[in-house]
Formats: sequence, C-alpha cells, structure tokens
Amino acid sequence: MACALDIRALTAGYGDLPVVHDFSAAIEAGTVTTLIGGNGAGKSTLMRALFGTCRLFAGEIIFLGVPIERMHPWERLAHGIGLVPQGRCNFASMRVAENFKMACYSLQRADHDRAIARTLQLFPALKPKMSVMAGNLSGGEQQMLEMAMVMVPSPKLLLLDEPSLGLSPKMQQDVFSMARQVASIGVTVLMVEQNAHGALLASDTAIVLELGRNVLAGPANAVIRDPRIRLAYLGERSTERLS
Amino acid sequence: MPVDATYLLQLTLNGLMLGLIYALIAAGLALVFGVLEIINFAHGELLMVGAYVMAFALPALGGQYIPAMAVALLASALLGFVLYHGFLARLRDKDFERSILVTMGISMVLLYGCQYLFSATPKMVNTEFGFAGIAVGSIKITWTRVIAAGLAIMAFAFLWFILFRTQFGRAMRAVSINREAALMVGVRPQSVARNAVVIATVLCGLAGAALAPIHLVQPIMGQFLLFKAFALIIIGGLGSMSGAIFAGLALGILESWIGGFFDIIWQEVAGFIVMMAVLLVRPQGLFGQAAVRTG
Repeated sequence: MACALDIRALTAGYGDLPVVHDFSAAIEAGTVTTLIGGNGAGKSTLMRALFGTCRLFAGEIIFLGVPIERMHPWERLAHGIGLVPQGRCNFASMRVAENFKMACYSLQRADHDRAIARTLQLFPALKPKMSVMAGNLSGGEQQMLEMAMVMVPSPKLLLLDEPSLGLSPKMQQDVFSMARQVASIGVTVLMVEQNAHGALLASDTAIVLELGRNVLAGPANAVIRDPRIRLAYLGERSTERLS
Repeated sequence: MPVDATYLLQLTLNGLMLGLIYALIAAGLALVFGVLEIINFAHGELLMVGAYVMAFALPALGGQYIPAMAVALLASALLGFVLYHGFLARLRDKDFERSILVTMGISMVLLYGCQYLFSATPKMVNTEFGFAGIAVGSIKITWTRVIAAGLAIMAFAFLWFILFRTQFGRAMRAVSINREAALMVGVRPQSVARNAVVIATVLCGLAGAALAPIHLVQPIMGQFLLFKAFALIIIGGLGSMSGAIFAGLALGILESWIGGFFDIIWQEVAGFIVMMAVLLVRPQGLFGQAAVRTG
C-alpha cells in the first residue's frame, strides 16, 4: 500500500510551548490508524498540527507527495484533509440541512446537492433529522453530523479527534464502524481515542504517543497484545474481552 | 386624559422612523460583535462619517437624494475596509481589551478630526424634496423620512437575504456560532470578518446619511447613539441580529410615545431603564439563547 501521510520530525504546540516533539510516522492509504496516549500526551495537538490550527515549530508533513505544513486550514481542506475536532463542533443554532449547506462551503455551488446526497447515503440516520436544529440532536447524532459534514467535500484523509467522547457504548461502536466504512471507500482515517480498546479493534495500525513523542507504532492487533500497552491504556479487563 | 388618535399615530410613525435608524445601528454592532467578538466603540463615528459625506455630497450633486446616498454608502464601505485592514485585522483572538482601546482611539480621532476639519457647528442640508411630503389625513410626513424608512427596510431585507440565503452570509453566522466548526468546513475567518465589518459600516453609514437631511449634522451625533445601541444589543440578546433590530424598532416607538406624553427628558432614559429591567429578568436578552446543548 502507498504511504498517504508522511509526518517527519514534527514539533508543534501553542505560543512558545511545543507539545508534540520530533514526531514521525508514515500512514498508509485506506487504513484506519488509532493514536493512543494519556492525558497531555499531545494527541489533539498532533491532529491540529495536521489540519493547521496550531503552531508548527519544525518538521514536515507530506500528504500524497505534497508538503502541506505551511498551508492554511482551508488550503489543506482543498488538498483533501478533513478534521473533526474534539467536542461539539457543529452550528448548533442552524438546522441540520443548513449545517450540510455550510459543509459545502469549499465546493462549487453546482456540486452542493450531489455532495450532500452522497454523504447522506453514508450516514442514512441523519436523513430524517434534516429540519432539526443541530443543537437539539443527541450527542451521538451530533458526532455523526460532524463526521458527515467533514465527509461532504470528499476528503482523502479523515482526522477524528476523540469521536467517541461522551457517547454510549452502542454509539461508540457505531462511530468505530463508521470509521471502518469510511476507510473501505478508500479514505485514510487517523483517530485519537480514549476508548483505546474499542478503537484498536477497529484499526489496522496503532501509534502510541507519550509526552509528545512517538514511543511505539505497529499493527493494531499487535499493539493491543503488547503487555506495556495493556498495562498503561487498556486495563486488565481487556484480557477477558479478547479471549 | 383623552388621547387624540391622530396625535398617537403621528408619534408612532415618528417613532418607527427613529426605530429604523436605531435598528440599523444596532444590527451592525451586533454583526461585528458576533463575528469578531469585539465591541466596536467607533460605531457611532461610522454613522457620523456617513452623515457628513451625505451633507457634502447633497449640495455637490444639486440636492439629488439617491446619488448622494450612493456616494455616502460607497464611502462607508471604503471606511469599513480601511477600519478592518488598518486596525481590526491586527487584533488576535481573545484580544478583547485591546479591541476596546483600539476602537475607542479610532472613535476619538474621527470625532475630533471631524470637529477640526468642519467645526462643531451643526450643519443643515437640504434635498431636492425640501419639506415636501405626503399627507395621510391630517398627518404629514416629509419625503426625506419616507425614503429613509424605505431604504432602511430594504437594507434589512437585503441583510436577511445575505445572512440566510447566501454562503457568503451564512459563513458570517457560522463564524459567530462556532469558530472552530467554521474552520472545519473551510471558512477563512479573516475574509468573513472583513465582510462583516464592511456590511456593518454600510448599515451605519446608511443610518447617518438618512439622518443628515432630517436632523442636524454635527461631529458629536454618533456619541449620542452609541450607548443607546449598546443598550439595544443587550436588550435584544448579545449577538442576536433579529433581537437587535426588534429592540431598535421598539425603542424608537417607545421613546416617541414617552416624548409625546411626558417630559422629554425621560425619552433619553427609557432605553436604559428597559435595559436594566431586561438584565434583571432575562439576562440573556429577549432573543438570546440561554444555553446551547453541548452533547
């Protein structure tokens, strides 16, 4: 498989403070990769650095052969990178239909209807909700809406920051299977997750981040068995679930 | 005491006219607050500049109302562009205090600069219409007031169309609702902020230019209106456009009634009494949303 995203010695953070240090990783096209790590490990900062919404100190980000680290977020979006940030990130006082219309912002007017219809095929649960105010959807529906909004301009790389945060176990499973489904249509998915166990089961690859550094990377099914990772992030219960 | 219906109607129509002017000012202030998260203390002076451009353009164009108005609106758009790129674009996120100082400084420079150039003596300007007007029964309304009201209503219709029916305007609402989500869908916050400042300045310039042939034009005219506009956007609910417009119209009519039936001095206080009452009873304002569900 071809390498879609090549991150080389990336250092990024806020103000004068680097949070992610010298991070390197290569991510293959059409795979699901989960980034796990404790609080303050720099997971969200890394996601923001990839989308261009935090400060870059050093390093290179090569996406499909193009260096993108100097681009603005809207330019990265045009190059096929979409980020679903952590927490609620929709237009709460607009209806779902208008949220979709805003999601078409980077597209030509003639393509709006087609792009929305295509995305709704991927997220059929949102179809009956089109005239509901986004802020009145349930937490899980809002998370789906945000993923759907980012999928509207057909990104080639989907960055998900804590997509299962605050959701019921059932909804968390739905979010992970949605990530797999998105990958199955050729999109590269990189997600940050607190629910490491659930996310790893849905992933091809895992990267472990500690204090802003890449400490371990490998196939998800190997990382999930790594004793150090089991101890640090998965807890004992995961043994039973695996068997 | 018996209230004369004609007198009440006259007061209401005058109040409506005044309310439309208030609404234009408050809508611009609310738009800039929503999109840039700053309070523009120079907003009153934007109105004053619009009025002065109208006061100079009218005699230069032989008193023709519409061409002079077009000049005033163009000048306002240019002023908004300069205001944004010269000053507001340099503010960073969360620079609220600095924004107060910067816009206050601009306000003072415009106010005293204008006084230096044109003196504090109020100017009176005449239009092609003079004091002609239409008569409804025994009520007479001058054309300058009728046209001013018509232009204000057209401006609101245009504003509504932009904000709710175009991506250009929807992006302004999007930035004011959720900045991060706006970045997520590819909005460029700087362009949206510039558009909002230019539109707000044009609305304010329209208010000033419409006032020019009706009231006296003087450097201090914006100052009187700015604090009232603050009260209006608080009554309407911070960041709510429709709230600001509704509060503007209501205050205009209320002031006119109070001025007609009580000592005129209470007219100036009315808005602030309503503001304090609203803050006590409904702190989020009449049209404000208390809290949005977050997950």
